[in-house]
Parts: sequence; C-alpha cells; structure tokens
Amino acid sequence: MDDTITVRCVCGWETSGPPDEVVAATSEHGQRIHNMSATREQILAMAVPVNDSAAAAPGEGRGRSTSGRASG
Amino acid sequence: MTRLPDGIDVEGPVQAEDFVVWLRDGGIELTGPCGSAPWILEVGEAEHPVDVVTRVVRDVIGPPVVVHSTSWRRDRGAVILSFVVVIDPELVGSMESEPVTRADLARSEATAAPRDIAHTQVVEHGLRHLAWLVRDDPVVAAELSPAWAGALETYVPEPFRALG
Repeated sequence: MDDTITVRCVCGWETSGPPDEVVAATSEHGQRIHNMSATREQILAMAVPVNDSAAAAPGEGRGRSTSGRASG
Repeated sequence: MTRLPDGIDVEGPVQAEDFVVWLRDGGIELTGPCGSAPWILEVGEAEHPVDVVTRVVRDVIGPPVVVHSTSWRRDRGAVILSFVVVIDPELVGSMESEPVTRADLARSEATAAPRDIAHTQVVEHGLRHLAWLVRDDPVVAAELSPAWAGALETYVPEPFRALG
C-alpha cells in the first residue's frame, strides 16, 4: 500500500498523489485561485488516503482538476 | 463508506465572492475557474478587496473589463463582498459556463436581513446593479459594449445593496 493521498477544495478542485506533490499542488491552488495560504500541516490535515477517496466517490469526474491548476 | 472531509476552504473575516460574467450571443453567462459556482477569494487584513479581485482575475483568467462590488452580506462566518466581473469572450477558453438564470431578489425585512440568500439572487442583484451602473457611471458605460447595454435592459437598475 503506498501513501498516495487526496485533497480537495470546496470549489471542486481535487488532486491526488504523494504527500509532497499534493501539498505543493494544493498550496499553489489556494494561493493562485483563492488568494489564501495554507501550511503543510493544514493541507495534510484535510487529506485522505486515496483509497478512502475512491470509496467516497467511486469513478471519475469528481472535481475539476487533478493537476494543481483550476481548469474551469 | 468513508466520507471525505469538507476539504480546504477559504477563511478570514472578509471574503470576496466573484461572479464572472460574459456575453454569448447576446445572453449573459456565468463562468470562472469554479465554473458557474461562486469564486471565493480570501481578503487579507492589509488588502483592498477590489485590488485582490482585480489581481487574481487578471492572473487566473486575464484582464477584466469591469470589476465592481455589488452587495455584501454576512455568511460563512465572514463578511462576504460580492463582485460582478465582466470579461471578454475570448478569455473564457475551457472554463465551464452556464447561462444566468433569473431570480426574485432576497428582500430584507424592515429591520432585519433576509434569512436565506441564494446565489442566483446575489447574481440577480449584481446584474441589476450593473444595469444601474451602465446608465449612471460613465466609466462603466464606456467599458461595456452596446451589446451589454442591450443584455442588461431586462434588469431593473438598482444601486448597491446590503443583502444580509
């Protein structure tokens, strides 16, 4: 089992991957799209293991982006 | 089944709620990085809300035509300043977009705010305010095309409003 995690934003954006990548993408999304700053600890506190995410939302189409940038 | 936490959310005592609008074939549509949903921005204590909205819209979408605060209300544990942001059609790109739906306004009681305010009501008032500006404000009138003036003709012009 790897440590892939998922974080989503209430705007619908979502990203998954290793913790470092998720933290970086989420920080960039928050700053760029919402003018907000979040610490690594705050971001990780909102993360869930990717398997939990899949269980909560089976299939594709959740959110608007998985790349760290809002795509509209 | 595991439920995801609510996720990251904008916080702070003052937040900006942007409604990005554009004209498609004479009809007004809502778009933005959050699609037709409100686009929430955090406003830092040393920041001017209009500056924040203008800067972030420019960085994320491109240069806006008009940025105007149209109402305020208390919600999400903060003071929410609503903005109507007009953009040129070529900036929409791949962002989701939906036609604006009309709504009755959320009317205050004589001495109290409305109990519930839907986003469609905030947009309705925002476009009524834009209809007022296009008649009353020469700067806005100069920026908006005749097509915009036509699209706003069906909106009752209203000045700034406190919604709640």
